[in-house]
Amino acid sequence: MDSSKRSDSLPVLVVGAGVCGLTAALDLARLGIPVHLIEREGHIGGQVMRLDKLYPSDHCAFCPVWTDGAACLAHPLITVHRRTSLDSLDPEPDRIAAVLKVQPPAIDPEACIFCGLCRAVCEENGAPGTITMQPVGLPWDPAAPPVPVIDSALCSRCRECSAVCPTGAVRPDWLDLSPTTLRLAVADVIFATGFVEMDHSPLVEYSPGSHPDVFTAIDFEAWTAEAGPNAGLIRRRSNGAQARSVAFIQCVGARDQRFLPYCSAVCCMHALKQARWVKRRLPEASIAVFFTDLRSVGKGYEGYARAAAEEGVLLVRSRPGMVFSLPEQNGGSTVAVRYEDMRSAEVITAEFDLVVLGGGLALCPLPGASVLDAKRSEICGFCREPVDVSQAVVQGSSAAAIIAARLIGRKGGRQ
Amino acid sequence: MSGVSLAILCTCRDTLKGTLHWRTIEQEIKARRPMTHVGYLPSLCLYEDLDRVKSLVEQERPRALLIGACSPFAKGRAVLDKLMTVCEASISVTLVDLREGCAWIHTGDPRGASAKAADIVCMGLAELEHRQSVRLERSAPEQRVLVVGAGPAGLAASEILARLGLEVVLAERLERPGGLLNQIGKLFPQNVSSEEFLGSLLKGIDHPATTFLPQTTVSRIDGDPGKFIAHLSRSGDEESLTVGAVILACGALPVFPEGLFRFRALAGVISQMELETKLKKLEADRTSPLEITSAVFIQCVAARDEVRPYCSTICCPTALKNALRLKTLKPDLVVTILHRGIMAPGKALEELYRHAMASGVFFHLYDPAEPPEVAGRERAESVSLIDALSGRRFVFTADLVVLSTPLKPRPGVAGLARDLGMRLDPMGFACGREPMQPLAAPVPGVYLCGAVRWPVPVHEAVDQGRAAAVKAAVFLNGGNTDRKAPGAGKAMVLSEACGGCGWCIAVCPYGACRRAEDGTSVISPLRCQGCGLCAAVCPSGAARLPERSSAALRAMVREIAQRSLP
Repeated sequence: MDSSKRSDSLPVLVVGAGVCGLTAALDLARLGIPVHLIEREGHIGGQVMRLDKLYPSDHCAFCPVWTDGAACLAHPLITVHRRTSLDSLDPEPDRIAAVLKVQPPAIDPEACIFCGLCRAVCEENGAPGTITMQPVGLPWDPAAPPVPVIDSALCSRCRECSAVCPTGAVRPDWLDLSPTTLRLAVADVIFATGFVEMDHSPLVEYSPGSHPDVFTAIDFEAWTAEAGPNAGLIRRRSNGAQARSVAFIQCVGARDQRFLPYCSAVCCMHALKQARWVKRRLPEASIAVFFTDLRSVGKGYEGYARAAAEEGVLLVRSRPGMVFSLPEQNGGSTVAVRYEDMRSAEVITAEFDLVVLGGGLALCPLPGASVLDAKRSEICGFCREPVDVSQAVVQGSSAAAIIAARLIGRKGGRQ
Repeated sequence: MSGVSLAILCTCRDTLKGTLHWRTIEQEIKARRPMTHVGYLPSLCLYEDLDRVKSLVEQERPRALLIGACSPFAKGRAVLDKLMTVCEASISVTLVDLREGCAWIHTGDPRGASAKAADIVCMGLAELEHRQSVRLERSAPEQRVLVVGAGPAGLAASEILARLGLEVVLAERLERPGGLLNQIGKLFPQNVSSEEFLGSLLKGIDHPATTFLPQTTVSRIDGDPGKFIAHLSRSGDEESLTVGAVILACGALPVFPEGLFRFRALAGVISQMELETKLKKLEADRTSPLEITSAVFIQCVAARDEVRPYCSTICCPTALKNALRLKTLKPDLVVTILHRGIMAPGKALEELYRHAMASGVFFHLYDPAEPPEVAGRERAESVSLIDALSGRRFVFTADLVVLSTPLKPRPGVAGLARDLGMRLDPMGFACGREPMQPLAAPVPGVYLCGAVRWPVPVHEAVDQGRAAAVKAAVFLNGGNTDRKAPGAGKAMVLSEACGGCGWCIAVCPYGACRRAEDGTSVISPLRCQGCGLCAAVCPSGAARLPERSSAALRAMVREIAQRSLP
């Protein structure tokens, strides 16, 4: 196999630059196959970039992803297209014509030196939050590369950011540009579009959005992250006070015939991880995880769940029927969770300072996948079937393996 | 050591001048290190300055080059990599962070920040003076891979490797390939026939580049990444083979529930694996009737207890699948599954669970403190249990009691894992670099897949096999080390100082320290991961990490003591 040189095959299109897509792109490129890696967001790394820690190692989440992201950006055979979505695919006998939609960036990532002057001048002008480092919620941005983003809805078009930029990266005209179209001819397509947290608003029984101390699991991660706004302290969002009790409610919107009938697979372990971190930081706090089946399925996960119980995390087999606000009373808890104690069949109302709603991870769509036959595309990671990080990276490599074998094998391999 | 050093400081387009007073910094550097030339460039990261670095280097002919720029996590790393391509190998290069770690965190204190910046630069220069690295001779790796075990993971790995143009040697302990697939009839969740599935996997190894060695065990593996030497034994014959990479896919063993729930004491109490064999026969020959009226499955037998404190992943879906197969053979059969929480994560398995419920399979939760009891005289007759949700006691009639047991690690794995510098978890399963590189062992060129790492469903074992294969191919293709200087971060032994005590050999987790012919230790830089354990235990200071030697660290600390700025 002499593919240290560029292979003469057409490039492969990888849709989605989360852990799974990054792995697939790197594996292909390292075998000499050119890759176009497209990402809808302004940063690469996907959902894992929004996490503080990974279970079961409790290792920092974003650094290993960041390394892969940086390797993708630096690799001569990988072209990374951020803010780019797949519009359509048209299979031809020897190639696939892909049409991509590219949203031009307000800030040129090549020219940006991440000095932060644009954000500073914007905040001085009284518009904090308009220019942010991605992902939102973390002050030091772990995205690769750490180019700030401008929220066009909040931007007043004063253009002072572009005046203050020392490298001319913030170009005034880019703020008003509309998406452009990019056409590529590719050999195969790998879909790794991942998941989004489902919209909780139809879950009226949990009063979503009505109380600042009710979080979604991923919001809670950013809120309590060591690199986050509270530097790892567990505070209430309503009054900034340290929390004394936290409830994690599982299967919110998942394993539920009204919304997502399936199990999102990662949320039990995700909640256990967060519960253990809260317990480590606040040993006195009472922490409860309300679960349907505690699905700690994977290498070392059972031990992780046992450790949580031994450390004093209360594991309750019950699916709460209701979450609601309580009236403010001299510093008391203000969120109530109503659940049935399965053994006594009694309905209990418990009060908590913080409530975290876990579950309900919706698979992202696969645009254009239906027009391709299975031999010319691979679907991997969460968008195929709910999986965690270690399974997603395996699936990314597996998809790369199948496609590399097809493209390199087609040439007859090594002689 | 003599020679000129060159320090190039990036001014970050003048965005740092409010905090870092470049003139003060330069004066301090020159006062402390007169043999240093200081140069400034406005934006090293934008690469337009690269040619100017090149010409400065050509003009000054320095022994050492220091770049003062931003954090390696911003653009520093990229700057350093780019510089490595324009500098001769004889020049040692380092990067120090003057922006995130100095200017930005000391905004408002220009005097302190400038003094610190001078310290940082001087310490970097001191470190460069003492820097040595291990010489690493790279030779082309052997373009051949040894796959240990021909179960679904090993077969899938072999297929990909051969199609990528690599030579594959697939060693299997038994006569037939297929591993545990040979013992099961249908695969969850889609009820695919395992024979058909195995057939498609076997087609993959029918490739001229693949050599299948049945009845072959791997007794030992030594050598280095790129040139491992595997010792194979086949019906008494020993053979050794040089391979570039190794994929461990030797699977796991089913546990038999000896002494539990009256297994083997009563007729009709069988293990889940025995039910698989039985079902395979019954499905092949539909004329022989299923002469039972009720079946009870007990989950987590000999699992999730003190001896085996883990969930074996595949037993719940297997029970769901087999309950449905029994229902298909005999729709009026009463099937009950006693469980400790049905582990059916994801979409397909949750659907399987719902399908089982809709097909009339009953489910009851039990508490391991109050386990079910199997009763009967010669045959199994009933199972009693306390339902953990209601607290009520139930007695089920049962002609057939099926005990779901976990997979356990193969005892032979420990030896190979030690040879390959692979860690085992407390249960005895092999570990990769969890969770981001789960299939890669710490030593390059060593990969693992399938149940040797952890019990997995067949389709996941196949995914892992393919993934391990692509990683091995990447390694043999030059790997992902392209951004790292060869020899960086490796340990070495100064043979004249080595007393031959062998402590480093005993502690090295990667099998990198070995005894040379003269009795001293040597370290294989290809296996070494730079953990420093050898240097920590060495009583004579012979084992060391030359890039971070004590001498270099002492020189760096001395630099701070020499500070003249307030």
